[in-house]
Amino acid sequence: MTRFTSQQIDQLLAHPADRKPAPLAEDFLKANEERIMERIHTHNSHRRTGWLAAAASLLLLIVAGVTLNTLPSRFSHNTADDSLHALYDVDDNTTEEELNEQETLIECDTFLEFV
Amino acid sequence: MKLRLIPLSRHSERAAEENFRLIVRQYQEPLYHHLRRFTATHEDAQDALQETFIRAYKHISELNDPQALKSWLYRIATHEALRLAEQRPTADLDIDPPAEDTPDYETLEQALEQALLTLPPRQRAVFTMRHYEDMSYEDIAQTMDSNVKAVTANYHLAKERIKEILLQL
Repeated sequence: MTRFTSQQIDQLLAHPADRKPAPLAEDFLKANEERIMERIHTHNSHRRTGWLAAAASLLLLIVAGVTLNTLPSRFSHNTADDSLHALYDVDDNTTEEELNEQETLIECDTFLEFV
Repeated sequence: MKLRLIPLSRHSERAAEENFRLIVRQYQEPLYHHLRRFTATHEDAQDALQETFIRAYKHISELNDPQALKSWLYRIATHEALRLAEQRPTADLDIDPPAEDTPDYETLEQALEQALLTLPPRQRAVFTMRHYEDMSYEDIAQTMDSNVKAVTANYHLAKERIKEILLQL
């Protein structure tokens, strides 16, 4: 059996509802407000931590870059010798003077090619 | 209450939070009622309400016109409720028939609220904004990033479906 008539339903749907919802309890509103503010505070803390981590990473990169930049000069003696031995295919007994002489010749050649 | 939104980004975080608290205080109740009408449970409405304010806080610098705060918040809330509703299947609720032979207006209203939950989310949202908040089709279309034609069609489909459900009780 239909309890609601078509007319009643049409009447209900024809107009905007005029019934105001019951006000929410103060305790609920307060608790909800605190939960929202707590989440916002956490969001801000995470954001701040993120910025600090990014700044620390950047600082670390700068320090690493500066350190790496100074390394070749500090270890230049061995590095140059090793690379020159390999480059000119000479044995390990070749003296430093001989190697330097060959390197100078190569540099002159490169310069002339460039010119 | 006059809300000072522009300085939010310039103030310290603490001051920005306290400014935003005023917005939460002023709008949480109407937004809760708005959300509750097209979410199936109180918990869903509460979740959507929190997400609405968190999203609003994160994007408040994008709000150029402080006068548009209310409609901007409703827009975020509507999207949040739709997102939530689309994650869940449309309710297949058993609607209780009225207890009395001659139901009063309140009983009919309650049945309508239950019937609403069986509608697809977009129809539910459109009907809610039109019926309960008396919003124009233009405003609803703007809130839902839709057009007036689609909104009107959704509203009429929702009405027909509700009538069908209520007549079957």
